[in-house]
Amino acid sequence: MTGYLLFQVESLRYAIELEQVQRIEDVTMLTPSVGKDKACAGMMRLDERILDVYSFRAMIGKENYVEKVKTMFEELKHQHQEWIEALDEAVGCGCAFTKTIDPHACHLGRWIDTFSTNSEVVGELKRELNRHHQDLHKSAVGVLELRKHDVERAKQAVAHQVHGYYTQTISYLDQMAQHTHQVALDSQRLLIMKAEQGGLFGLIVDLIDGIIQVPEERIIRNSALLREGRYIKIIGALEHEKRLLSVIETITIPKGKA
Amino acid sequence: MNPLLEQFLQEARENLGFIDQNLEKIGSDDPELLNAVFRAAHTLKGGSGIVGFEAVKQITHQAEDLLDMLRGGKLSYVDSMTDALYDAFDEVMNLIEAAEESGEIVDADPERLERVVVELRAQMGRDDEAHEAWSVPFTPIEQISSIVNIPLRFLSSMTAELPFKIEHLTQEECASVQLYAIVFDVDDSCMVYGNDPVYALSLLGEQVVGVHCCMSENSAKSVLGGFDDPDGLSLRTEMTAFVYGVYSEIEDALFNFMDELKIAPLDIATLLSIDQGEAGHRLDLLRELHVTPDATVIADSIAKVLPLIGTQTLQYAQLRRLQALLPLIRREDVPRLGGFFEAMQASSVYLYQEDEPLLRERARSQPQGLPAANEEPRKPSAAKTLQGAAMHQGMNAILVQQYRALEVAGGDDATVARVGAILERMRCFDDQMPEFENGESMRLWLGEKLGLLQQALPQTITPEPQMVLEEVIEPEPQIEMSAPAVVIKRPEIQSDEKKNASKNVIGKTVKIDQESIDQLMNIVGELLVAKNSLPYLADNVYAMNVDLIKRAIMEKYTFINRLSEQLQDLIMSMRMLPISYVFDRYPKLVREISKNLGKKVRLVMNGGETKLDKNMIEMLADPMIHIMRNSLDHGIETPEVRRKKGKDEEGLVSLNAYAQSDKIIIEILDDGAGINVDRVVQKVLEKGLMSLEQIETLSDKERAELVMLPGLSTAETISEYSGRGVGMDVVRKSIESFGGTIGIATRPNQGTTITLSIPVSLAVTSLLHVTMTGVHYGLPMENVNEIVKIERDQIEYLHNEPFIYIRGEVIPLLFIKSMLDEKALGNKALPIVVLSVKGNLLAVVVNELLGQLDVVQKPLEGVMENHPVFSGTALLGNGQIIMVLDPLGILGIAHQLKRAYEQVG
Repeated sequence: MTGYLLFQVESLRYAIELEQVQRIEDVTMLTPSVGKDKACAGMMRLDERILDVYSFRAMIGKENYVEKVKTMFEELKHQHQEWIEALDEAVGCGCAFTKTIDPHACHLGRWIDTFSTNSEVVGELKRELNRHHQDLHKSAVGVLELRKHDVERAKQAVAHQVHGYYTQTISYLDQMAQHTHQVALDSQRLLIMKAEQGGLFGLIVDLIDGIIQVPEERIIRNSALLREGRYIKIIGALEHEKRLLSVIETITIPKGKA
Repeated sequence: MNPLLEQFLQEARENLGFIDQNLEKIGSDDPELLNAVFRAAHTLKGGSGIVGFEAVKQITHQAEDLLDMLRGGKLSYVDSMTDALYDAFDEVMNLIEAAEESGEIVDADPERLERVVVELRAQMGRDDEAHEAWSVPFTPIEQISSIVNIPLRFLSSMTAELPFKIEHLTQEECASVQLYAIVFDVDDSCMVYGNDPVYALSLLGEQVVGVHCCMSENSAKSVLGGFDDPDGLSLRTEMTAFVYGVYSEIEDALFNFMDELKIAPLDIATLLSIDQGEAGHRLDLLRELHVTPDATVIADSIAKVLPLIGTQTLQYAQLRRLQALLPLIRREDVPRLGGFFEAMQASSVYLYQEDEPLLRERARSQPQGLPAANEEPRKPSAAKTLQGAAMHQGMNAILVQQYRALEVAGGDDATVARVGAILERMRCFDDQMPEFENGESMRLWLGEKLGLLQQALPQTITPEPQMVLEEVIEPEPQIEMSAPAVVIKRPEIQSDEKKNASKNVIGKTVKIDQESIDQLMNIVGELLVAKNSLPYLADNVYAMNVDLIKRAIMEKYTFINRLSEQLQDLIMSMRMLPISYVFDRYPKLVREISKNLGKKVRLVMNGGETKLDKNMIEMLADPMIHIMRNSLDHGIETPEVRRKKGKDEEGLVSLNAYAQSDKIIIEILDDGAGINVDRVVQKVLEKGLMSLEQIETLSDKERAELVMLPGLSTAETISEYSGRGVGMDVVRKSIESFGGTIGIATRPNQGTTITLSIPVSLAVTSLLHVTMTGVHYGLPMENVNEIVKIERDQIEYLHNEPFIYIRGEVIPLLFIKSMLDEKALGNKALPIVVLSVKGNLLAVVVNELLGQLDVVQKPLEGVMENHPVFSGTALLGNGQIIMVLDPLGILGIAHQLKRAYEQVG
């Protein structure tokens, strides 16, 4: 049996032998480095040592996580705009409201539930955002119930109460968007990896999925799965919870850069 | 191309194929096989002459001669003859192929041509520089007396001179102008094949002095004996032509008949001799004949005597002959008429040399002028006719034989006694012959007389001196004297043999049996009925509703579909040929290569009767040769190495063919050293063709198959036969190009098995019909592993690339962006075709799956030729074009994408 650490970058799943990972850390603010490899996100201090930190996203050609967070906030705003328009229509014309009323089921709710931060400012923003977001969804429940008895009052409640919660929610989302760098750092994880040539380096990934122990024969190997890129060497695939993930044999950082 | 040449080239290939298959066995005890090979060579020679393919004619002429001598027993078979013949026919094949390519007759490389011809001649014991081995190039007329009466009326018009006596035709004489009698014994069917003897003779123009024709003996018997053959009377004519010319020109004109001709050069002495009829009368009048060197005086003398002799006498006939021949006698030969006049005056019949053959072979094999031991010596009257130069030559020939007999046999009592008896009989011709005490005294006297003691024997007329010696030492003198040991004999069963030969050679042509033709006609007849029913349907369509019309059309479709399927099956069966067409090339190849490599190899072939499409057979030939060469060069070890390994010195290479489902499996097995897989892997790594990780994922079989990677050769040295690192790669490409696959299994020191899996036919391709962006595409069914529909969320993205995961298999998923209409796919389940290409699975997303189609695929031409993604086109029933995708091309796209992904991360 071999232990593997499972992690994600966007929707892509990977497994890497646990032996290569020394520990998992939260991502802190990195010191920018000049003249380093394009995948190098910066430097950090760890146990009296200065480590280079690399972005797995950059290694596989994905966009920077900050950009992803910006995009995410835009999408969250857009989704709630659609949500409030759907509510207006349902209350106004009596058609069914097809959006979710559960504050933990929408994208924003799910993000709030999973996001954690060490930043006091961002933490405070998150708490306010969460409160107004919950009020928004709860008010929708009351309005829709009222609509069954009194359409006019329901319309007024939407216009005054629900739209108020909506405005507050969007406002806090905009404030969060001003802290995308911090949000991006807080959303990712840092793996402290052993470099092939000795020493350590940091590797930023999106999400840690867990650790599993699997027998060697469960690794699916065929020539179509083999990949040997500049940084990452894939040797096969592994089925985990009915989904496939790529098994990384090594992550190579440019010589002399560790 | 000239149609005649085209036909010749086609027939030449068939004949060469037959020769190639059977040449190796000519040393066996099967005379019929040797005859068949001879006739194939003869046909080649004849055909090449007709079309004017001089180089082929020259080679095949010599090859035919060698084969003829073998079948006639004039030469004993040795292995080097097969090699020489193989070389010769290989050269002919090269010329044929060059002519096929250029569309016209080509010239041979003079050096190669000479080398081949000289080698063949050497096999026949013919040394171009020494004429001693030259032999008469035609079949002699056996009963010359039967035709000497014919030419007199033709000769009167001649102004040329004839030699007085041709003892033995020499090469020089043959090369100069002679009067030849040519008896045509042509086959009844010659005119059917366009071989017109009269036309051929006309090519000789004025060289033809005359032609004598008469009804054949059998025809005459039919007519005289009462004719009751219901098929009608077929009168056969026998023809004798008299030609005054050079033999080579005659041969050129009549080359197509040479096997059916009997020829004799005519001379004065022969034409004067009459050996049948009643004996002459002793007439004093004949003493009036003037014996003088002056031909005019002789003519006058004959003119005076003739009216006084009875016209029914032979003397009269002979004098009339002399009268007719006088203008043709050379001035210096007139004195040689002495013998003639002596015979006349002795009231005897002039026989220049009774039953003396005209040709050298007969003279060699049947010493003439020598009475048998139990016969009385010749009467002086007859003996005197032997006087003169001719007699001297005849005696000399006898004495030479006796001398040789004594030399070979030494003091053998029987030989000495026999030679002594012969010399005693000849004493009457030589007054100075001493009394002999023993064999040595005979030998010394003969040697001195003949001038043979310190010099080589005079050049005799025999092509094979050792054969003469064998005859001479024959212990039965009577038999030796009377029975020729070596006789040029043409079998009497010529026509039967010819039929058999035709059967053997033509048996390798693509034949369509009568039954198939009948079936074809039946199907075509039914198709016509089906076609004719369509206008009726069209006429009645107004009275039918849509359902009825649809049903009626579908009925017709079903009918026509059945017929077209039958038609297809029938035509496919006609195209099928046994794979022995390919296999039969290999005995020679194995023999040659193993000989050159100093290896002993036994070739075993099984399943040669397995049938394969004709086109496929042609395409299979070259890759198979490559594989065979590799097996012989790298697989089979030298006898020493095999001995050390405890193996039989003789290596074994087996070729097996058998049908399996719709494929033909061909196995090439050898019991050699096997492929050194570790060495192959090392080479692959050294050359950077694959990474170690990639190799680690391979099975043992896949590792052995690395030898087929482009640019890989494990041979330490490049040999003539392999080791250039292109062989197996080319073989694989070639096999795959016609839809086949190749697999390799090897075990150290036990050998290698190469397995080819070949589709039975290329003519009809079964396709999976799909569309992408409204365009019709076909994917070869043989590459389609399965068809699946997969929801988008079931697509697995591994390291940025899409895969599908089916039953434990992770298969790369390919969206061919340039062909696929992705918008049209929407959020529906994706139609996916899983292809199996070269052992790799590949899933391809298409827009629509339409079903299976059987089509006749057309190759791409012009700018589309060698397109990386398309292998051909076909037409749909509605006239639309369907583009046939090449699975290898699609795999290439997938590999390109993979490389692009790798460059990213």
